Amino acid sequence: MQKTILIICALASIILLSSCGKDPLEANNLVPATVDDDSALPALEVNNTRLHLETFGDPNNQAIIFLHGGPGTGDYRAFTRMLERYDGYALTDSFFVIMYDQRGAGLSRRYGDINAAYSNSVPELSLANYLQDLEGIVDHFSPNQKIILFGHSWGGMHAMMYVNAHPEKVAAVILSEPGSFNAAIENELALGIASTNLLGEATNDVYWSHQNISPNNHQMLDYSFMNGFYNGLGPDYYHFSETDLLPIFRFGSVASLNDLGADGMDADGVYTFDFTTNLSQFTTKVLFINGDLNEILTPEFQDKNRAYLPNSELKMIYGVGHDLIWIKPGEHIELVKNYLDEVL
Amino acid sequence: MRTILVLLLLNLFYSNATIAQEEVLRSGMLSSNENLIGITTGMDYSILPLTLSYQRGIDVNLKHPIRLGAEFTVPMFDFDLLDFRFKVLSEATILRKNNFEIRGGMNLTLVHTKMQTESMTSIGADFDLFVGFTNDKWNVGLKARYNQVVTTFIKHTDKYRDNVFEGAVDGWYRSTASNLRIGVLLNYRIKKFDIHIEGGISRTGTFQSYLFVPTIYGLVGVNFRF
Repeated sequence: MQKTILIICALASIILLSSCGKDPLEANNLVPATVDDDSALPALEVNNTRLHLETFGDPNNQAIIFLHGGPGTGDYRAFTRMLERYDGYALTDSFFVIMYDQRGAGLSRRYGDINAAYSNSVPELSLANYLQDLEGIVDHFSPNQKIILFGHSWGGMHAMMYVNAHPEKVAAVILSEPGSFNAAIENELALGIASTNLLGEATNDVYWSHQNISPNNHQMLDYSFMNGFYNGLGPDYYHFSETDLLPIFRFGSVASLNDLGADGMDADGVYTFDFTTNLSQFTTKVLFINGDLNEILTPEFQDKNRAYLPNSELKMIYGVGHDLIWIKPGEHIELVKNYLDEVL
Repeated sequence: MRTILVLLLLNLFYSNATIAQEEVLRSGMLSSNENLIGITTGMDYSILPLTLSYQRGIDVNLKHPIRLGAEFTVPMFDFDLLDFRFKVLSEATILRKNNFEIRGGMNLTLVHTKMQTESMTSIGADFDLFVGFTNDKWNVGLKARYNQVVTTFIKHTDKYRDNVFEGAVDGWYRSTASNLRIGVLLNYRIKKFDIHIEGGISRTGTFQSYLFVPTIYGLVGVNFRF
């Protein structure tokens, strides 16, 4: 009898405890609401998706579209310092600036099954869809005028995917430490495992925290992903600043795990994409911008990309790694202004 | 709901045991009033954690003594105590026929993790099931452990608020984690000492992979009986 009472008390305590806490999956508890959770967020419906998108400046000016890194590990929050005024000049003085979070990233719509992401096979997160989203944005905001593209990291690859498909619609391209233009270059990169110190505090924290948080669904996977990146498991070779972190609205973990998706890589994770088949048609000079600290996406690496372009120039920014868009926005704006003054 | 079901099953197992009979010393088991202190390391949500444990065999008028105790674990010999785990342990023999044995256990768990972006304190329970063979020297079999976190207190730091989500809500969150392990347990008894090795696969409770870290576990330890 005594034992039965004890068991009943234990059960009652567990039920009480488990019903008291907040729901970790509810938007704006642990991770922010996306455009599907919060209709007040600025958004655009395009290509059967809903993208978190903002515009800045006069819509009558020529459009410049910013493409962030990732997939999944970046969003347009990383570009926001580039909207500020430097030496009396702001991009919005001359251009209509469009920034958006790609599908599956930032505050744009979430996609996919977690298991599919681990096998790079989330159908909605395909190169074809990334391209069609951008095509839809161009058609919506600048149907009759050539656009300018600014891409960082994967965003640079995304920009070249568009240029390769529509060279006639692009007036100028700025690439800040872009990734590879095709699989031949990317497969040579063979990026290593992020953590270099298995016995370090970062590995320890992330491993240990799996007893507190399980990545069983989108929200908790995003939260776990953030724990990895912001607790020291980010790749050292990019030399991100440790005092002025590259911010993000949300880690799009499924988009990141899915990488380039089934039309950009095969089932073994070997890349198959090629954004260079038609680049010879784009004869306008392309501006490359590189930091000097990045150990992977170096000027020598960019020479491999530049070999596919008839006309390009590389400018260096010193004392900065792969987060150069965040750490050195003023230098970027100066280089962009000078370049656009030249080619437009 | 899963937690409640497992608790009810355990209650059933404990209740079905009958009055104590003559107890024989067995590897991996404790006789009535026998004590054990142990030290364990390996790969257990950390690489090279250190676990210290105390257990005691207690006769509660069941067929076999139950085992009660506690253990404290810190990861990586990192004694800053910012990350730790504490468990209240219990285990009982559900069925023993000759050398075949089924044991069940339930541990109450408290896990604290301090990260640069948040600190988390989780309260939950382990539910263990062992099926195997035991004699005076050897104890070998399959062991499964399901852990369900009931509630977790999460407090975010400025690093998270400034760089990711300013509006993150601190407080208690329900059912933030569950973990499942299935592996092999081997225990060898040498006089007053038990040497035990355990290893297998580790997944979340819904059998998802972990992010960034291994999905296997392996433990080795020594216990001293007195």
